[in-house]
Amino acid sequence: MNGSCFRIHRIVLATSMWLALSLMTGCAVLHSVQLGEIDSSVVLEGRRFEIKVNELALDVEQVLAVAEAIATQSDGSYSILADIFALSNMGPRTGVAVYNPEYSDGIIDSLRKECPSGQISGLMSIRESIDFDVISGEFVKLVGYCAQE
Amino acid sequence: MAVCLVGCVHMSAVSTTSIPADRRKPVEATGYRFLFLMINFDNNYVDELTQDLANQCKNGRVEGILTKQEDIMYFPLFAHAVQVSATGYCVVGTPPAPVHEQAAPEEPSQETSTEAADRELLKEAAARELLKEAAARELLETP
Repeated sequence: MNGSCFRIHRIVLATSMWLALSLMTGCAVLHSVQLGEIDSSVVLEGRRFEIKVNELALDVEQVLAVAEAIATQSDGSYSILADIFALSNMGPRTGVAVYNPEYSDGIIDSLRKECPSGQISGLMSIRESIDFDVISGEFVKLVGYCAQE
Repeated sequence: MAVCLVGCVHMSAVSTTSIPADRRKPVEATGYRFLFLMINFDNNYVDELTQDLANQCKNGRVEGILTKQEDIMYFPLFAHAVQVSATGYCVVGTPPAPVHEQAAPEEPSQETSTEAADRELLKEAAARELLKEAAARELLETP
């Protein structure tokens, strides 16, 4: 009896630790992938490069939901604020709203620096987020191959 | 319950490049990640798609690539998956020259008959001037 209880306790503990670790690590969300044309000689013989730009974002709706949950006497104002925020950010989007919408503009310059010859092939554009519940990292990643000089 | 067991597939993103005329050899690569409790630590499974496609077309180019991203739900909350598939066509041969590098066709002459006559008159006037100059030089040189 004691043995089975101990086993269940261990399973629950391990599951809780795994879940806690998972939540602490963050969840990677893939929003979109786009693949450009491939010149096989460049991809197989060229140099692989990776460019990543990111912006930290605060999930205001999540913050307000947490505030609502921990407030001892709530009059529902947090949920009203959350609704207002959600309505003002309505529309198609990927990830959480960021305060600097130009964070990915410099990616073209990075691409030029990474492959000055311009002979790039197999360029893959990835839009992803790393979600830590209240805050999230909004990423734009380019993976490509540059022909050897 | 039956609906839950069947599962759902959602299309997240689609993109395509220009479709080539030569579509004899299709190639395909897929990246797949199963998500337990929707927990995912990275998206590196898509990085190998390019290499996979290039390996299937070693002596050519892969064109007309359709990239498709699907979110699959096997069971609510517990069992999900993300699948990214890329299909294209292997084209072997020299790539077509870019439009701006192709030789521009010669434009047909827009010259009218009046312009041609004017040009002839100018030539005649220039020739007469040259003859006059030559005659004047000869006169000056003669003792």
